[in-house]
Amino acid sequence: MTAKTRLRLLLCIPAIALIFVFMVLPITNMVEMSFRTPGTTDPFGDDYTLMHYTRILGDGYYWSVLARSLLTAALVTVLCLCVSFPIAWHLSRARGLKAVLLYAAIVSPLMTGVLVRNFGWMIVTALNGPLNETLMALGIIERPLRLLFTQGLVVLALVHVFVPFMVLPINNALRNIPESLGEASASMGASRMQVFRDVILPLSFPGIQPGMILVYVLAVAAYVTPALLGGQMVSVMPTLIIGELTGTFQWPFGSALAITLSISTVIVVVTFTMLTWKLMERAKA
Amino acid sequence: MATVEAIKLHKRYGDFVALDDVTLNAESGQLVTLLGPSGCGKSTTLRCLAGFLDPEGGDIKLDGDSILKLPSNRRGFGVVFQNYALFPHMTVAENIGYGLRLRKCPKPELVRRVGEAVDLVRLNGLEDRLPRQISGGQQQRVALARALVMKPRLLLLDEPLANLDARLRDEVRWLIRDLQQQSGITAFYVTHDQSEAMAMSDMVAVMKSGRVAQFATPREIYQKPVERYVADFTGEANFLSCQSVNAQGAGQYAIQAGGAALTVAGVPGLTGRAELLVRPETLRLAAAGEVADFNGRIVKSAFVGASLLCEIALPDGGVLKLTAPPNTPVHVGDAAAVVMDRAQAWLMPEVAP
Amino acid sequence: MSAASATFGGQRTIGLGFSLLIIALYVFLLMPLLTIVGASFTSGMMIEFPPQGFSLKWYHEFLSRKDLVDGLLMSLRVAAITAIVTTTIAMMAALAGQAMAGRMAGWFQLGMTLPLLVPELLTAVGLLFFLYKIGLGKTVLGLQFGHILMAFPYAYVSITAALRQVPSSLEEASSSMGASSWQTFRLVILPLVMPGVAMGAIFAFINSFDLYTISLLLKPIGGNTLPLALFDFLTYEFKPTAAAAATLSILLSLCGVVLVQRLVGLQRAF
Repeated sequence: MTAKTRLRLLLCIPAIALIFVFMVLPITNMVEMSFRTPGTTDPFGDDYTLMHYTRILGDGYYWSVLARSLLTAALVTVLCLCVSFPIAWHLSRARGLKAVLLYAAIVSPLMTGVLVRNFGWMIVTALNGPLNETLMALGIIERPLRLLFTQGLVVLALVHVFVPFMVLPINNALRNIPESLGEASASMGASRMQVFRDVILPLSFPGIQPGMILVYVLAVAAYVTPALLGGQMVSVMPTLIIGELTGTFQWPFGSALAITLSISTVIVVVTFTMLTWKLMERAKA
Repeated sequence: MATVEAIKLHKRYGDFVALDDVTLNAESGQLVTLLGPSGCGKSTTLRCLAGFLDPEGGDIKLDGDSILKLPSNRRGFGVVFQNYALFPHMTVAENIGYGLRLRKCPKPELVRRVGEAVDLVRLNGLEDRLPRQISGGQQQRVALARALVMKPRLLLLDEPLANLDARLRDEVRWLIRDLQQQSGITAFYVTHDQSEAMAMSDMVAVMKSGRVAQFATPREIYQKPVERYVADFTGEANFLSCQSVNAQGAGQYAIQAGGAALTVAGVPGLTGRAELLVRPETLRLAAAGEVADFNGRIVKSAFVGASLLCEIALPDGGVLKLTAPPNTPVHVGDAAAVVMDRAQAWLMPEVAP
Repeated sequence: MSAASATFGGQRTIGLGFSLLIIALYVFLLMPLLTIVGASFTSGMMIEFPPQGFSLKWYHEFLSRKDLVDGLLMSLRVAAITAIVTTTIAMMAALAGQAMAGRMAGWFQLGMTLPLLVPELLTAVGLLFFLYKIGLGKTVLGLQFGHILMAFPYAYVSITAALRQVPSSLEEASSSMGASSWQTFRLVILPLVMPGVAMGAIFAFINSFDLYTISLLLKPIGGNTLPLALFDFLTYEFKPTAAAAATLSILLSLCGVVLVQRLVGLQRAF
């Protein structure tokens, strides 16, 4: 290594400091916090205890909220995949100006804040909003549906928030599949469905898997959407955690909840990764 | 085995005419090569035959029946792609057996036929590897086995050797030709390499901006090209311009070229100005006292090992390239006398420069 | 080839059903944004879509609301500082990352994108305690650090991608002609990666502008970012003023999309 290279490596110090000081330390700190006793005047006490974890594990309420969080995120992930795959496939075939416009349509929501997008859903699903009006005009429903503050709307809005995160990696994977593979498959007698099943789907897995993991991790920890669109009716782990921290100032208990959620998420993701290991190994370029 | 006809195929992309009345045919068991530079329409023609593209006009007939309406997956043709198009997530055996699996071929028969195909292209022992775990030459042979295992009515090969290095290219070229002849499959072969086209084909179609410039046997293409483009594309060539031609009966002309008066064969029906094609290997430096066809001056010489490359300027401004034995004593600036094999000279229409 | 886009394995595929599905999915994707923009121009008194008539009165109303305007100004200021700081640090880190090899480069890349991979909620909770501990709790500076951290990976990824496009031979050529490392960077590297740097700054700015969870937990006393102010506004008064504020936010992201397309092209950026 030349002196110049060594000097150049020093340039990474500010970035490493930033991430170490403002991320690694705080999260380590949070783990410690979760073992603190509850405070009386301060948000936390001076002694260490396991009581927060025993409380969470011993209370059916927390189990049910945790289960709801994990299942909602799973549902969001699967729906996201269903919505994203056709979009990604269509996008991956587009060229030129059409591709640019489609990209813009997918990326514009991504670059708009989650809060703003959720607000949009509040208008769309209002009692006299366009969704209810359309459904009534089509004769599907007789009176407007009350959608705000329901689990269904939270799921719908989360799917909307995360679709771009799924579309982009799948689109990239699909773009990496040479056109000739589909042609080769067809020349050997494969129908459109068979080409899709045997070639396109397995080879897009390197985009599907990371997309699903990313969406799942983000969906489990999503706070804004359940808070705004679920209201008091739909409580999930993130709303519970933020409530503990900003409402009742129970920092150690809030930390223990956050860590329980993180560990559960990691278990789900690792299990998923192991189950799909074979598929991934085969399809990797 | 099958005969194939492509009749007046027409295809355009916006304003760009990709195929302009392309007419070709292959007799049963023939290997027909589509030869030309990139963008000449050779791959487009092949893709129309395969059913990957729909021509806007014309027809494609297999044993006399139109197959234009048949989608690619029902044509039953074997296709070998330039990038091989092996399925990266399937093993060698799975790749080869894929088409049989789609046809619901019973397991024992599938195993047997895949085994035979593996033997045929000598890939034994690599059956369970993934494509990325074998070499380019081996991948090429998997692609070939995969196309042949289906016993296709027609084999289509799109620059199958383009991604191989020179040594492998020779080896696989002969393998392809052997397998095609053994199985008697009719085949179309796309390439931009004239030596490949010459060596392998029963018939060659030289293509030029979406048209077939000439469709003939390799020998005819090389020795009796219909235009300068074809002559240029099929090998080294000298062209001497002729101010006027005198027809001397069927395809024979008396001409003045390079300062010599000659009688040569040529494209029938020539009048006015013409060009004489003289291949370098039909020329040699005259021995002492021998009667020369051309007299000129050596302007370049280069020793290339097996031979000596010479360029000779003629009094009328023409230039002849020829090869001489490596130890010939030649010096730039010397006068040179050149003898030509007159039977092999060929007169063509002059193209507007 | 244009014809290839209409075929799938050589078979025609874009059927009517599939086209309708795609249109429906894009409607799903864009509807929330379109309704907000539409609702902001209503002349009625309620948030509704389609809007009643056309007026700009809710934009006037927005400008007269001190809480929202203060939120907007605070968000713009924090986002601008975030963009400048992250871009600078990310440029340095990207140069260092390029000099690394093998396994170390991989770990470095992972470390640099950590704030993107760990859910915002966790980082926010951790930072809440940590900033309190070091005396920066409930301060603008603390919030600013949180934003810089969250936006950093976007700048880093953009700049690294741009840097990868510069052949290392250019650097060698420059140094062979006598340029110092700084001169090479200033005169050769920086001009070439400028579009990537600008894109990184845009991403960092927009990310900071949109952050919610981290701002909620690190909220300085007496200060609100626009998303926080908007959330409160939506909870207590559901009026078209919110649509006007949200439309401004959408406009900002559209500007970002257009700029990114101009700078490097959306397809390469994402």
